[in-house]
Amino acid sequence: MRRLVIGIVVGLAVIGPSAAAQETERKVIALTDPARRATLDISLWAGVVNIVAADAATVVVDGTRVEGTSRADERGRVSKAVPADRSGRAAGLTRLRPSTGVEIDQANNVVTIRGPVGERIDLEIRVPRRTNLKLTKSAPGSPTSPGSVTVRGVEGDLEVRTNAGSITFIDVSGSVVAHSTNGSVNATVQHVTADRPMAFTSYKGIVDVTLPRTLKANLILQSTRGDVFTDFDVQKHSRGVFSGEAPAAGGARGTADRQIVAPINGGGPDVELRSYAASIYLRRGN
Amino acid sequence: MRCEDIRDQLFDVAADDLRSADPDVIAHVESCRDCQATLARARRAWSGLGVIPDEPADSPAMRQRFDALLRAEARHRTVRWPARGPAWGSLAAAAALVLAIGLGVLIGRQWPGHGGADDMTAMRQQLADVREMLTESLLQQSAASARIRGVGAAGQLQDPRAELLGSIVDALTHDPDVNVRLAALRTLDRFHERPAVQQGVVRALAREDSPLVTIALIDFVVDTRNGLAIDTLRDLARDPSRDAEVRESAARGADELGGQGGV
Repeated sequence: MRRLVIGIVVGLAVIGPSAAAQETERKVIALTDPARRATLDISLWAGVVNIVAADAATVVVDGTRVEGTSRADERGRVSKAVPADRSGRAAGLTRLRPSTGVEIDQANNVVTIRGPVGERIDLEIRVPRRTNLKLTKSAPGSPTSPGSVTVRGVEGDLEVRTNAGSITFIDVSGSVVAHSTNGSVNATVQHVTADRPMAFTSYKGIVDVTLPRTLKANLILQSTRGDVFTDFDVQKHSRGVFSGEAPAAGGARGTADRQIVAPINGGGPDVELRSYAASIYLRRGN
Repeated sequence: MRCEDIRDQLFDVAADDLRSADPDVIAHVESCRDCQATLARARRAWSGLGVIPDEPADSPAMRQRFDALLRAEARHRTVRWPARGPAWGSLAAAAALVLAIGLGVLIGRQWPGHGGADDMTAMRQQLADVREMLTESLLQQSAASARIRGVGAAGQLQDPRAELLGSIVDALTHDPDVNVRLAALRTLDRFHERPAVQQGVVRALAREDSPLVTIALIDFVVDTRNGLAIDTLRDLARDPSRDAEVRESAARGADELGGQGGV
């Protein structure tokens, strides 16, 4: 028992200095023309991103640099997790922390956010409801580069690409084009912009999407290693044939056993759901 | 002067010469082992950059992209549309499409006899031109859903020109969005027998880094029995940096095409 207690104490002593510390900065960005739709353009290495629509005319960004998770920190070359001053010399002084390193600009209603390469930056963002979104996270998937992306209530052209972490859209409207290499893609879409194609794809994760029940679309559904589930009235008469085409002479080729292509509610723009390694779920919403 | 005061300058110093740097920086580096080590690392990184070979330009794709832009610009000037905005290209092309259809119907009703067939042929060609122009305009949009719509529109054309197919191959090879590349591959399926498409798909396969698109490309070249892809498939199968599923799919594809004696 005594050995166990000593082991835990030693373990905590080792872990303690490298535990993730955080610094948060807030920035409020005024738009050039609040009456027009905003565009949010984000490029990050890694991090958790939550974007929420608000009835406001500004964009509010809370950026948190999570220390102990950068590539440099992982290699032990730079120790950013500075232990608290215990010498007594800092009495009466304020500890200054470095900035998050996030660059934020606004021009002509386009808010651009750039995170430093190799750093994990968590973002909490409030945007006007009518906002287009373009978000890219480039870190390869690893336990130290986590970072789900959640978008709630936003109306616009919504594009999210990430290698690591899941993507979730909650009660969004407009059009969605999303891809996660290693995470799941989940979406509840309330209203869809007419004639806009959409795509929800993942290499390793599940794809779970709820679309308006009256949506007119040509569905393209494919799961190589998993199954395809839906409660839409899908007639698979066009299986293996790409949308808008007559069957090719000689019939469909190898796509026939991999892809389901079917119109719903009379057909419309392409809506693709695809996962290589996991199942896909397409649900009828309201 | 503290280490953090000069960290940002060290890479500049590494790229140049320490003697030409700020005297305060020189003095600090000479007295600080940490900064000496950082400077040494920066110098190694800088000299390493010099030996990285330039990536060869993707000349056919660049040519196709340039031609497509040139052609689109020439057409815009011919019909004297205003400068392309986010929605103007689509709206103007759609308006032109409606106008062209209306004219076609009118001509067909008023001149049903001789000469009508020629007029209809000309009208169909104009419609095809408008559709190609619309497609190229959509491919230049910043929204991924618009670009997906563009590559999808190209798939509706009966006999698209080589330049337009080149633009779709270009989207397959260079578009930053995975879903646009997947949509481009779907469109190219209809035209897989064209040599330019066969070559372009193999080029895209060699460059692709998304495992999802790579496996879709492997399936494509195997399904279309594209023998040009065999060497690329073998390279992929041997590349340890690739995902295991990608390597296995590539190895199976190479065996299948090699055994079949592909196109």
